[in-house]
Amino acid sequence: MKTTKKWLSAVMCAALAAAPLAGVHANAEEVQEITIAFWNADECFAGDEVLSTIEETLGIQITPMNITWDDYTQKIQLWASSGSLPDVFVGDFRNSKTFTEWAAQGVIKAIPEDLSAYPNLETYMADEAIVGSAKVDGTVYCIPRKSYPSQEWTAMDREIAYRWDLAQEAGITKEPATWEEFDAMIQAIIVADPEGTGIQGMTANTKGLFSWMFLPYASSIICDQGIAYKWVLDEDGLYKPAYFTVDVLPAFQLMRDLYEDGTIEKDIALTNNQSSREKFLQGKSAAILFGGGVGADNYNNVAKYWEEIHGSDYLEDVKVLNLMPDKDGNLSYCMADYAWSETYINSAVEDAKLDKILELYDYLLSDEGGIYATYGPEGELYDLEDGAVKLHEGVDLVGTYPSLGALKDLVKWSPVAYDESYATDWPEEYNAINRERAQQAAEVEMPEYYAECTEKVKALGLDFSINLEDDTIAIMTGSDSVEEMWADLVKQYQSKGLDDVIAQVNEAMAE
Amino acid sequence: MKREKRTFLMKRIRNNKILYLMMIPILLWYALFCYLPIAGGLSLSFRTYRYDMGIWHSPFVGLEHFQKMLSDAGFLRAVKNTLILSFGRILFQMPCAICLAVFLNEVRSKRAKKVFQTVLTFPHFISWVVLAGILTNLFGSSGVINQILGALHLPGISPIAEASTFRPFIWISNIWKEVGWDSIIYLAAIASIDPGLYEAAKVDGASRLQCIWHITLPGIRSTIAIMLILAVGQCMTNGSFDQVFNLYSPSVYAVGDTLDTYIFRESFITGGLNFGYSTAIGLFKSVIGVVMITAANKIVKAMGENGLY
Repeated sequence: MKTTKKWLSAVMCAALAAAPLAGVHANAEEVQEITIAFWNADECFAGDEVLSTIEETLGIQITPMNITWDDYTQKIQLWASSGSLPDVFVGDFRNSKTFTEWAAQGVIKAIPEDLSAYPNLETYMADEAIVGSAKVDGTVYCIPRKSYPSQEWTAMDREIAYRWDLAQEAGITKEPATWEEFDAMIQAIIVADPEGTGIQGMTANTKGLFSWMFLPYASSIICDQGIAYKWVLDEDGLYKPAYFTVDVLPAFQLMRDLYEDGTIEKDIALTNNQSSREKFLQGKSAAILFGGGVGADNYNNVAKYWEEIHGSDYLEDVKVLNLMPDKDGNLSYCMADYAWSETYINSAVEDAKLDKILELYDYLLSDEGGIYATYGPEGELYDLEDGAVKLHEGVDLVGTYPSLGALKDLVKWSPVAYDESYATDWPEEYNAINRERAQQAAEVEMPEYYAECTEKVKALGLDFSINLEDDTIAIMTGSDSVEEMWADLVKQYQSKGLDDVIAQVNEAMAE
Repeated sequence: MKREKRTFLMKRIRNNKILYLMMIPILLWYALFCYLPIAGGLSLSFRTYRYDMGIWHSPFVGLEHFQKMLSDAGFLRAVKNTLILSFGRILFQMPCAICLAVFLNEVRSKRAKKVFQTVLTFPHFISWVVLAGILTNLFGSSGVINQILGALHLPGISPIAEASTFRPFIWISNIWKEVGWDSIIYLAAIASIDPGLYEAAKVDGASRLQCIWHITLPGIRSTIAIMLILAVGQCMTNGSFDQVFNLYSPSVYAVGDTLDTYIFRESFITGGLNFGYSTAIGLFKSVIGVVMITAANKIVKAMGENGLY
């Protein structure tokens, strides 16, 4: 009897000890852990009320895998080659051969054709302008991160802010309407140096911005690199990349002239985000070329500190350059993709987890989810008035809820710059500049090009990439003549298979 | 005879089995992390890497990558730049280190000698990532150097971003960083010279310069030869990927893009998996490196010095 009691107590103790574990196990089955690589994910997904609410609602647990703006390309490529990719990761690979290889070699999962279970995502992915570049041979392999609603809005992606106050002090009375006038204005500022700071020419957030800003002087369709370059028909009826068909020399010559004049600063090849912003803020640069919009980038990184340093309003001292005319005198800008980056799903993700990932994306695309992931709980940092967000005075959105920094941009880039139902944490005047730029851009007529050729390059898996950023800096800062350097560059591209890619695309187009 | 040797070896192993057992982890480490990657690298340079097949099962493409190399203008430019930068280093940096060692040896005050040595060796311990930032800030258009030049009404300079000055900048900055460290080995060699030779020379009325020329330099000749062979062997790796990578930009690719930086861009920046191609370039680099080190070793031996082997 005693022995039976002993056994019974032992069994009961074991059962009691195992009970919590059984509970954990049951919960674990319900909750899907999703590893996500997003810029600064460690900070964003450290844990806050917004994140935990979304996690609980959807039955997921987000585990961050950190990437930074400096290392994300290399880090993800290394993860891909070592088979250690997270479930979800972001980046701008779909215009490079990496994307077609990932798709063809089973690294990434195709996005299901039937998205009817995720209505918001289905609507989002139905837009061909967004999804077109996400396909390889007709199958969609990523979810593009929409940055702009239509072509004209892409004009705000690369802009130049210049010191209008100093230009006026230097005797300039008219805002520049051509590159020649811009050159003359910057020269006048440098010579007059009204603040005695030893002011120099234009700086830039990154050296990669120059191709986007200046190659449209030759043609608006020369701004995609990697394998996404646009194709045109030449005089002989042959499809060729526009970069090698259109006369690009005037654009390179313009950049060389501006560089040699000092209108573009001498060590522009070494520029970076921080140093360029500091130089412009300290009055050491007459202009700054920036990306990402006058509000999101220029206000948040420069303008909001201006009054503290200069004692005056930013928009009184600084103007944003209007769209400039091309070599033929017509307004032009870079015809960029609407989505600058995209989301990928690891091919190893199983169906149950895929369902949760798509559910999360669907939620973030819903009206409710979009607002919640951008501003947090209603009433705390903002109020909704007639469906529009009204931010409370002096709120710090990401400072209060760090997860907003990632969630608002996870599926699509936050539409605050162009969607008026969203409130921005920068003054309305900056949005007005964006709208004005978009209005100017809407008037610009885009040259004809053949998107089918770009699709053929992807479908055939052709190994020929263009690097506009490096080419632009090399020719702009070079010492040999522009013509010689361009001829040399074309030879280099030929040695990498330019003629072969033209032949294969033409053959495929003929079929 | 062979059997005797084998028996002797087995006996030694048996007698020292604990010591031999302790060697196993190290041997395994070398096998796994040094020799296996070599085999993988060799194999990959004849294959086109596929994510779904891995290194060993990716499609074999024979000499395709090597053929591509010969027609790749970017690769040929990188070979040229690598050799120019490396030989420039040997030409300028080695004599500087030797001169510094001789100079330090001649400093009479031990304290001053130590101060000089410490100050000159210190930059070796700073990473190129940090140093590149410092140099860029110093020599940038808004940097201290250009501010001084501006104050003196002299034209500004941009040695890091201009093709005409990039190579000298690489050589000079590397000398500044490494000369103190490099001189240590020559100082050690000088220390091993018999002091009696100097005393005898002084008795015979030799000046300090004559002592340097006839005793110090001949005394470290074999060390110089060994260092030269090693430096030649490193020619194709250019000594320091970190330095060029952190200082170069597209505006100086024409004169500063080396094989290592080219391989990096081909692997991670250009787009597409060029691991096969970049590994083939790596193999080419290693083969040329082996040829050069062998040639340098033979030349040095032919000149009557001790070689590496």
